[in-house]
Amino acid sequence: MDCELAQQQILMADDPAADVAASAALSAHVKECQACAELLARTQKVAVGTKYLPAGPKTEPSEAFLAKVRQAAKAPAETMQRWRPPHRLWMPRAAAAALIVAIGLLALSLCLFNSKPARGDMLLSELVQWNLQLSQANGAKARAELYQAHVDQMEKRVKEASLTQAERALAEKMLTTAKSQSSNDDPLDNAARLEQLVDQVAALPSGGDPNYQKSLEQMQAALSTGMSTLLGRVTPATLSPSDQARYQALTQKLRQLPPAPSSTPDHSQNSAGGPRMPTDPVGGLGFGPGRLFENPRRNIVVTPGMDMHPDLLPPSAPVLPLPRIDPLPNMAVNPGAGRGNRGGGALPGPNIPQDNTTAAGPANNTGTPATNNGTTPNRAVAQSPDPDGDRDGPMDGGPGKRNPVAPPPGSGGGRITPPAYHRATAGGSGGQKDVPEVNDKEVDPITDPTSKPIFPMPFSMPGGYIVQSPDDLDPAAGDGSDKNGHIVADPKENSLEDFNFQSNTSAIQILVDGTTHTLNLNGQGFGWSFTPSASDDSGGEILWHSFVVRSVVTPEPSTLFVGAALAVLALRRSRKPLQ
Amino acid sequence: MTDRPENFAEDFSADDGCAMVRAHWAGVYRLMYRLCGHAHDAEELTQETFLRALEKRHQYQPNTNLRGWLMRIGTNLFLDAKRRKQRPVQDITPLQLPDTRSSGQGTPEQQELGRQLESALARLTEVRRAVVVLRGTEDMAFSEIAEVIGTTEATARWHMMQARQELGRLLEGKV
Repeated sequence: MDCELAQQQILMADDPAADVAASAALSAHVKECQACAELLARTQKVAVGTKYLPAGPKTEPSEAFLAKVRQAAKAPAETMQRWRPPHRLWMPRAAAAALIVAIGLLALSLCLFNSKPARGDMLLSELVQWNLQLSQANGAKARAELYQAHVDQMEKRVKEASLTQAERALAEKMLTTAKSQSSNDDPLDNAARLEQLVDQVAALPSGGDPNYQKSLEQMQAALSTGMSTLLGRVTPATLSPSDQARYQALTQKLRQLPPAPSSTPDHSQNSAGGPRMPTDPVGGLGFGPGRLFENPRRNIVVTPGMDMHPDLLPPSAPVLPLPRIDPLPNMAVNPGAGRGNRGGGALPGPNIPQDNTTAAGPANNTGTPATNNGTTPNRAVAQSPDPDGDRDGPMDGGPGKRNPVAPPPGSGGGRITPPAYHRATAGGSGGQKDVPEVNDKEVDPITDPTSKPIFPMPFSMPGGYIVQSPDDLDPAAGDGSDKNGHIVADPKENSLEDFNFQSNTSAIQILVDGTTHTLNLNGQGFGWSFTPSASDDSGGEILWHSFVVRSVVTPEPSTLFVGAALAVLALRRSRKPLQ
Repeated sequence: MTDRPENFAEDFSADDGCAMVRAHWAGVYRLMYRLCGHAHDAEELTQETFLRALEKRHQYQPNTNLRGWLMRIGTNLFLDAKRRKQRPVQDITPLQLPDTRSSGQGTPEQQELGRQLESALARLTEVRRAVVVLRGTEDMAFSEIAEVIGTTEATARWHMMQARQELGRLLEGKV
């Protein structure tokens, strides 16, 4: 016998000493093992000690208690009875329970079966957007990446979607066009494919549904925007005669298409409401026959297919005077750009801020801190009219002084050349610049690591939140949202992720460089992507450097119903008289 | 123990209940006192035990262990009260007992051992304390103890083993 077993038997024994004595094996082990012998002695002492525990105060049952015992003994013994609630409470409680169960089932069924099948035009709109983004993507690599990122999902959705025959044909055509765009670098060819899509969209029967018709028109507008972008990349002078004829035909077709909804006003018209600039064959779409856009990503295109309802902004959320972008230092302005075309007052709102790196004088930087600390927009003359009207600064000595780049052929008056970027690093005392830097070399603010964000941070947005900087992005979220849950686009990114909104997202609000747009989604959540770009279609400014997307979520109807039912129950309960 | 009646069923239903109370009062009270360590609480629990037994007397199986049944009711009442109140178990020392008397048996050394053991008992868990008291004071078999604490005999023995080990450690060097 080993010690462990012996000790266990000793400790569990009824009477340790007697049990050891009764067991020969145990007794022999204890005689040989000192530890077990000590344990036996200790345990026996405890066992004996329990018999001599102090008895405590001796008590007897009192007479009063015995009287109570007699009374209890006379009373009938309690029998096991199933508990039943009083009848008066049973009925309303059962009714309330049934109502709650019914509400729960209803809510569950609403949640499970309320997912409306996606309308065909929703899928088509997304395909249009995809093609539009492909047309605006810069470079074959970007197009290929954009194509690969969506092709599988799009093909699957087209395959599974409930579409009419015409819709399906269009959807498949758009898939083919997207593939062509991803592999073909010829903008003229791609524009021609988009034109075919426009025709096919126009041929779709709307069935008298005004919403559907509106959606189709928006698709056409989006496709025309894509055509416009692609044609903007074409240099007609280098085209063969046949291609020039195609080009002319396409531009002619674009003129006949409905204008694209734009987030920015059409500045191609002058202040007098005159005709569109002759160099813009379409007008308002921001391209010209010359190579006006060195970087097509700068085109601001709020993707069509969404309703623009800026008026839906809540009145309690006034549009704040959001900071505007600092003027571009070497924004080349065509000498022909006159006062009436690009000058102060020609554009809505405050005059375009001037280049405060070259501007001097108290009138320009009054009130502006000497050092741009990143919180104050460096907008020296944002409210001051440009005296000479050429938007290159009032003190620059005249129009065209800082126009190192000759206007492209055919660009005509008012067109601007691609702006070069640099950051005005300091306002200087009294408006004098500290860093008289003029960067004649064009720098891509998005990709060039030496470029700093021009957008002053922080900026606020109607609705109350402030985005401090793109560094506020929450890396853990990974979806472009900041630490407050708002989706913030990083201007440093070349492209943004698709933002997928929940089905109960009723609208999204997008702040693009100071302009807030509310896009009504009509309760249909969808994936939406925004390719960062900026254009000169609003007067030569590079308007965006950051934008914020906020989803406006409305409760599900089932949630509202449950909430209302619970409120009614609570009301009934509160009205119940005390009993 | 001398107050153990021979016929539990007759005891229980012989008269108006007072005989049953008188017969088992001391045993139930001792257990309650050992468990809660407070004379007043022990008396309240003892009274509650008997009243509860009278209320539930239809559940008592005749010719079974009435004392064990009463002990079980008392133990459950104590554990329920303990859970409700979460009252810390008082360290039972002779000074806290207003009328501490020995059991009247044994040598002075054995009575001293009993007093030392009483303090150590207060540091055990309720269940282990009940096992030790029921075995040592009430001389119950482990099968009866198992019924009282609502477990198996093996578990009751395991509780006793743990209790004896702990008591041995607590009393080491004192006795």
